[in-house]
Amino acid sequence: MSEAFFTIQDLWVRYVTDHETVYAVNGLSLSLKRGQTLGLVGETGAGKTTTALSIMRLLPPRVSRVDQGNILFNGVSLMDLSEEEMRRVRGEKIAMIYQDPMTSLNPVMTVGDQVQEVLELHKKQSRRALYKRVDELFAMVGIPPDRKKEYPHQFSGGMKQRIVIAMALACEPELLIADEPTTALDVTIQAQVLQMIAKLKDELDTSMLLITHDLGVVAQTCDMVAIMYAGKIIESGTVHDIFHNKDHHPYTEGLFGSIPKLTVESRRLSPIEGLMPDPTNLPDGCAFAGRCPACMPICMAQEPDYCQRASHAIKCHLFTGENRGEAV
Amino acid sequence: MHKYVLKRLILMVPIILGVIFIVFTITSLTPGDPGRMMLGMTASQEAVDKLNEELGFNDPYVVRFAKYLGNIVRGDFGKSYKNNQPVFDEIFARFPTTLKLALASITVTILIGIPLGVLAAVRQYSKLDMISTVSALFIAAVPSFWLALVCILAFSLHLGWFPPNGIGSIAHYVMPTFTLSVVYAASILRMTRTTMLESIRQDYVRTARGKGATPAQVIWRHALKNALLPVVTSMGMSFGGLLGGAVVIEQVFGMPGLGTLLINAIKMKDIPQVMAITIFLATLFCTIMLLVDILYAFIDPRIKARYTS
Repeated sequence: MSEAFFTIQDLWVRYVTDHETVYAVNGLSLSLKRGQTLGLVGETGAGKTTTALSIMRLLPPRVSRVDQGNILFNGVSLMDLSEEEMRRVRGEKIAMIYQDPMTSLNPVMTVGDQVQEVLELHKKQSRRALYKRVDELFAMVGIPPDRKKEYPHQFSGGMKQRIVIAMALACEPELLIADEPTTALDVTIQAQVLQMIAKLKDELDTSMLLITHDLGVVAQTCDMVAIMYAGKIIESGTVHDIFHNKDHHPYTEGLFGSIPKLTVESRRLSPIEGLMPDPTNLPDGCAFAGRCPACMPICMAQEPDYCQRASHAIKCHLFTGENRGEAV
Repeated sequence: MHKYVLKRLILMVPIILGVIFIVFTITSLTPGDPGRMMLGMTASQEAVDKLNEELGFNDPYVVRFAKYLGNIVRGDFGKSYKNNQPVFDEIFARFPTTLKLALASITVTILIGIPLGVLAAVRQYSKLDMISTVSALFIAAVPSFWLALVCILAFSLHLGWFPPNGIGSIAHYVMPTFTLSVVYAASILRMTRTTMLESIRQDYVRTARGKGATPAQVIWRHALKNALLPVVTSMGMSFGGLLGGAVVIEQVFGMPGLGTLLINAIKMKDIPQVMAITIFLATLFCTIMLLVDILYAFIDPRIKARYTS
């Protein structure tokens, strides 16, 4: 397997307004090897989208602050690029599929023009080649090319997301960031869209950062998994590590526990009790301590380090230092 | 779309009828009589009464209204009490002046208001934004006749750059156009700024940036078109208002446009003239609003879809 071509090192992002400071991403690190899919899992508000937008450098201006960290892409720091250089990366080298296809397409432009725009921005080619490529892209995502003269409101949600996908893949990017691409879609077409993304990703040999809160999706499509909580990765590893190893972060246990099982009769869901800590006021120590069934005194006082076993890393006091014996 | 336009054209008929009814009623309620106005204060009461009788002014209100409607249907809008000429002669003689002024003003309004509004939104809280919004607020609060008088003082009396009144040359139009357009531009600027601020925060603008589009492409191609709808409505209304004769401005600059004609007709109780101008303007206004709605369809395909269904 090749070296990691994309790494995020110790990323810290805050949103600062007059009323409050939201600590969205707090020292996040992750890396991705070429051709692989990394699933970034976490509940709403864990900082997943903030991470994605930091990579694209599309965080809302004025309120967002990237305090620390580096994002390396093919050995180049994206943070150091000028706005002009970054623009050439966006859409061509790194492309993004957004959460809500209903709002991420421009309502007053034909979908064909919107797909064509990416190509015009990055690939110099003749009109004829351009039109041909747009047709190809439409066909690739399963939309009849003659519908490219239509407007977004004439398409269903799933179709719109396909157009967003066509847009993202138009320049065959090296890295595809898919930010909960199926969350806004009907359950019946979620699988369809996801399969298509996975298939096209393989065909184009693109690497993917898949942001999701659905562990089922992760199991189907990802090679690596990183579980995010309150702006940090609390557990990461290969899909095998996460789904089959014995030891897990209590939060991961909770996530798995909250998936209803077909084989076990139960009348209620078993969610993780409590809520994520207020991102404007994060606790000392482990951010999950307040909800953790295995919370120890040390968890309240000191932030745990990662316990690394081969590819599997867990950020929890249960598996580090002297506690290690009792837990296992 | 054709069906929609046809429907709207038919709908104009009751609107115009309503306008006719209201204005006719108001003119009948005002004191004074045309006979006295036409013959002057020195004329004998008998002559005045005789003329009023001839003009049908002594008939009951309902009879007069019915007669008037009947004449209109036959295309006869009557003759001006003032000069005994068909009323539309005077309207058509004066309309070009008003139209020129309106076209020039709306063009300047668009050229100033929209770009500044866009820039103010894109550079929100910048110096440019502060200056343009504050001055827009100031100008919108200033009465236009005051601005016109200040212009005459400064540019005609002191600097002698532009003639203070009349319509002889292009120079005559500069100050009226300026005074009218800064006032309208101020409101267009504020509206564009507001709608742009909304549209640049939309997801599709982020999508466009995510494609690698330049800031200029993002703003002019993606954000502005979406921000334009309310601005177009407001511009349509402004244009309609301008055609209705910028009554005050025409008066201040001594321009023989529709506005001054209307004022004089009202003063003289020249009922056929007042009626004709009002009908003309109402029809014009309805047509402009229809054009605005058609323009909508070209800006926003979702609205076009609604028109055809």
